[in-house]
Amino acid sequence: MGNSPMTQVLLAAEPLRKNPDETTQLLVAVDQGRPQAAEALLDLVYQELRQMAASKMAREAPGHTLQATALVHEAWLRLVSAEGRHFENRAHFFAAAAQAMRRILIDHARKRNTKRRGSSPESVEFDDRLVASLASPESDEQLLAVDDALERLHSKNPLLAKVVNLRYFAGMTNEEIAELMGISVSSVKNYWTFARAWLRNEVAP
Amino acid sequence: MTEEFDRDLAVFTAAVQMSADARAVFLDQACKGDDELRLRIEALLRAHEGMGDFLDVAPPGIAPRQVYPPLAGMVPGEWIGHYTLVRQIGEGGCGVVYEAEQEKPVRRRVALKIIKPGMDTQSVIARFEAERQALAMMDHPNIAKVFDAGATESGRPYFVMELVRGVKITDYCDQKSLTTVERLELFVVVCHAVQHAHQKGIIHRDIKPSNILVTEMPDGVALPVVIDFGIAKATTNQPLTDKTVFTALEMLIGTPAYMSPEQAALASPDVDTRSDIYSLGVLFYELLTGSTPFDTRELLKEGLDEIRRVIREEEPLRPSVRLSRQTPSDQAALAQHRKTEPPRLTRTLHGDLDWIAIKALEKDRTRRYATANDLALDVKRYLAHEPISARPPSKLYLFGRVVRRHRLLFIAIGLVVALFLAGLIIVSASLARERRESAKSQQITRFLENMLQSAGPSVALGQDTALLRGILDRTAERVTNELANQPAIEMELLRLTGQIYQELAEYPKAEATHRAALALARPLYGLESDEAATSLNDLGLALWREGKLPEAETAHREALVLRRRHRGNRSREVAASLVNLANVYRHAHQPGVAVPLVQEALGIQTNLLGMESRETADSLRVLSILLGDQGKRAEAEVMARRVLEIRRKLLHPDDPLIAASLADVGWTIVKQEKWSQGEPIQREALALRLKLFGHAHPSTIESLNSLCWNLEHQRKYPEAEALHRQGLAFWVARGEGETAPALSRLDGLMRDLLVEKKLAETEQILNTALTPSLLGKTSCVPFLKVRLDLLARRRQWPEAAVDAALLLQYDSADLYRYHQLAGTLAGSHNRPAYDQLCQKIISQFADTTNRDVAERMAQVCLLYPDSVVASRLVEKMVDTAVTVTNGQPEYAFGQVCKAMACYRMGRYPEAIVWADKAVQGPYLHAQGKAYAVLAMAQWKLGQQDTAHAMLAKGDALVPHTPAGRDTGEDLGAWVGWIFARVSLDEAVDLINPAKLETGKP
Repeated sequence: MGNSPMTQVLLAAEPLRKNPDETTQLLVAVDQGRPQAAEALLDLVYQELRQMAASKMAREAPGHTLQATALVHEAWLRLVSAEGRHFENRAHFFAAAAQAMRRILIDHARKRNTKRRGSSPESVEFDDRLVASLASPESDEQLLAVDDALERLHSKNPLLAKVVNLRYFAGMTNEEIAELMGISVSSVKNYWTFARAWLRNEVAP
Repeated sequence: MTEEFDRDLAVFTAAVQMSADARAVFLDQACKGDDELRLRIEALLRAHEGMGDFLDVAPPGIAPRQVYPPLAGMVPGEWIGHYTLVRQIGEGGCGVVYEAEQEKPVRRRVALKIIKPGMDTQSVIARFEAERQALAMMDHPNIAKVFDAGATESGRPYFVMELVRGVKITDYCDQKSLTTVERLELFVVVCHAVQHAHQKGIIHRDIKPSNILVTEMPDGVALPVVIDFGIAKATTNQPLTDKTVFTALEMLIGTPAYMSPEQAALASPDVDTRSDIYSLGVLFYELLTGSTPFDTRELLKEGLDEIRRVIREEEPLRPSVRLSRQTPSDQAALAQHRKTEPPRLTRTLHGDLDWIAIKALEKDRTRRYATANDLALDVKRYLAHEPISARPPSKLYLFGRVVRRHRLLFIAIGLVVALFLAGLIIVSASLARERRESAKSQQITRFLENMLQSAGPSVALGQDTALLRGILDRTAERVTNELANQPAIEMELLRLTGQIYQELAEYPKAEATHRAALALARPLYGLESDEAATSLNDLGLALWREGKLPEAETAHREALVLRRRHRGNRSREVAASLVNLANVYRHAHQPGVAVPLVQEALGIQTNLLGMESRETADSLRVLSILLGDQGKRAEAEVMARRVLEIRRKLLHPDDPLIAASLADVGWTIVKQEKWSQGEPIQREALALRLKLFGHAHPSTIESLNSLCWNLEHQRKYPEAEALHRQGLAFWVARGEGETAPALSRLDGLMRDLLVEKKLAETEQILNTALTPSLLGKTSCVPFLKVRLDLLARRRQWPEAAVDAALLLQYDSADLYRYHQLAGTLAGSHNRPAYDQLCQKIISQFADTTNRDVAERMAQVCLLYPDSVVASRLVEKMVDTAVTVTNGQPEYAFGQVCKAMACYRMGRYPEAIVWADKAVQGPYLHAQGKAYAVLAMAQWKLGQQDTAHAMLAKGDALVPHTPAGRDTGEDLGAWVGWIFARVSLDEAVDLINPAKLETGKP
């Protein structure tokens, strides 16, 4: 489906406008278990979500918060072509999106922490309002600690880490997670209860 | 490693779901011989118990969504905002209510209602904020105040209200076994409370027994209190989205019994005060009979759609009938709760109380009581044994309702429609039978046409052509379906139907029908036949009306060519086509092309028919208008007069065309600014149109408008005033006092009265016109503006503040509204509301870069010392006001703001520099304010003599009486006056406190 010169110009002018077919191909590759595909998908979703979040924050008053679930769903519609929106693709995509949301939030918490310690308040970038959004140092510290613990949880049981990602970072309900992961709602609840207790012990001194 | 982990997961999951005892036994078993496992599991269980909201609150930067803590998670002792929960006191469809304790700014017990999940918190709070000013104005012993709204940590909206320790009104009545009379007395109090809110422009939207709590005063008097004002609006009045329907559905599930038909329709966005009247009617019904008009719990089994249908369509049983249908034991219980016996109770309800209930519960809200007061008044009349205003519905009305419900088309149709139907039947029957006798069929068709044209459906039916439209639609459908193999007849009927559509101003349908007729005529009679020309002409007329001028031009040109060929160059048909074509060019603003066409048509017509024919007159009329368009007004007048003369000779004196001609003549005269000469003719046109069409017809309204316009030009204001009054009275009597034509009369009347300086009368008219329901619509704005000025002029500050708050709500784009509200609040010494206004301003405008916005808003925030808003933010606005000049000279009001800001921050010399600048400016009130700053700053610097002198100058400039107070000139001048006066009073306060009592605003 080679790109016409016109499309290439457009793509060059708008580097962040992804081709929905491209995402779909990537999702198929993830489904087939190709190495690197998962990483590439995560990168792509991360870039898009970051861009969307920044433009949304720019339009809102300072201190405004993002609707994670809405953002992820919007990304799904923007990035994946209509034909590509199959069930299995959806599961891969949302898992990647939840992971991407997590990465964005962690990045911002890190930035905020750096700013608090270091430079003067004027250095807050105008276009990056998420960084400027209201968040207490304690909640940022906790968030970073949770992120570390979550990495350890992932090495022990990826499924549990996935549930936490979807629920905590993408704001999904148990029912939605069950549907997406193809497991029962009570399993999701059990995983969540355990993971929460486990993380709590890991995070708490 | 991972197996160990998975075992932890399994054991923990099992254990966490067990009771403490079972858990101990289970762990003994499962961890036998593995102490480490046991330790790990116990640590996890401890973590689980002490979890709190860990990971249940969304991460920083992310808005919470479904991850709400369960309702049971809210426990006494927990903090929400400034409030500590004390205990749960209620739970309803909408959320959970707690008794809570407020610490700051005052220590008091409040009711805190947490809205259940599923709502968009930010928009709920935003909608509440929008109404906050209005809510703050409500002050009534029978209304619980709403203090505050906010969001819990997990993002759920909550409301804080006055705590009312009472029981549901229906429960109270039954517990106390109140008699019917006692119940009615209680009900009247509730009506008055609702009326109070309506007068402030607030609709409750969710009136039901659980929102009306009764407490007993120490002396045993029952005090009903209406709660939740402003909350239903915040939680339901969303723009129409899926979510709205969802919320509306939720309401249906909650308490559909009290929902008005217009609320049940879900789609209707314009719920107004009359919805509350309906809900009061349901309450009334329930207090009397012990049940709501419809048993919604029973209906719920049938589904929501069934409930909605019943509320919107079914007529409730009269209360007395409802009672008599209860089982004897139920009747006995009901009567006992009312200290009476069943037969007597039925007799009490029968008659007046039945009719009051029925009137309050009317499906059509225009037939309900107009206000809660009216409803209360009728109940009071009943209690005083006086005749009530509600009447049993007439037979005709009941009959009409049956018709409406069953949609029987054939009842109550006008003469024209009956004839039309009969004609259609005759035409189609006879055409079908005598297919070949086309002469005869044409005769019949013509008869039908004549009949329709002579009666003119738009004339005879006037207001109700809906029925005719319905029949037409069906006819058009039937013609194509049933006459498919008889194209000649089909074409005739299509043509006829199309012409009637045209008459009814249904132009797109007329176009479609004529196109269909043309498509039949061409194969039947030939592509270039005379019949095709007729259809093209009809089509051209429809297209012209639709404004599709190029297409209309083509159709008429084509028809003209064909007619010239078939009928000859000097035929009536050619003349008609020429005039039609001229009309197209007239609308295309090409009078130069149009005039020769009409002149050619006139030549043909005078030749064939003489100067005095209807057709000649019609053409002359077009010519007259064209001449007027070209600015040849005197010639246009001559021509219009000629048309009138011809028509008078040929037509009945009451023909609508005569009225049209009179209006034309009047218009051409008035356009030459011969006002007084045009007046008698315009009056004649208006009188005839009134006689022919009544008040509501567009032609009558047009005549009335142009006559009033003329009278106002002649400065005959009393006469214009009388006409406006007359027109307004008509609409009000029809119960349509808030429609566009009525409001345009009201607007004219108000302007005339103002010019005549009849200020008291203006205010009186506005007070009557500004009903609660009109106050609920944006169309009240022009009237509200004037009333506000009138009230302020008379220093009725609290009343003015209510209007100003409403006005700001509707018209916040106009920054002057902020000044008006601030001024009225200053006048009424309403400091809390003023502080709120300042906070609102700071949150919206602190960052403005617009000089005028900054100056205006800073003025408001600097009105009082020790303002609640941060002085840093105000100074930022002030600096914008004086530094952003965009090349224009500095503005005195900006300078005086700067001066005031410097003074407030103790920079007195700087304040004096700026105030000195403002004193040089041309603005009286800026000067007055500047003198106030000068006086205060000099005083602070120890220059007491200068201070006194400055104060005296200011006082002299801005006296204690507002400008225009007695003359009525410049109604709006009060705003500048009070702004200056407040500062001068501050100066008096500082320098000369003894003089303070002499006159504060």
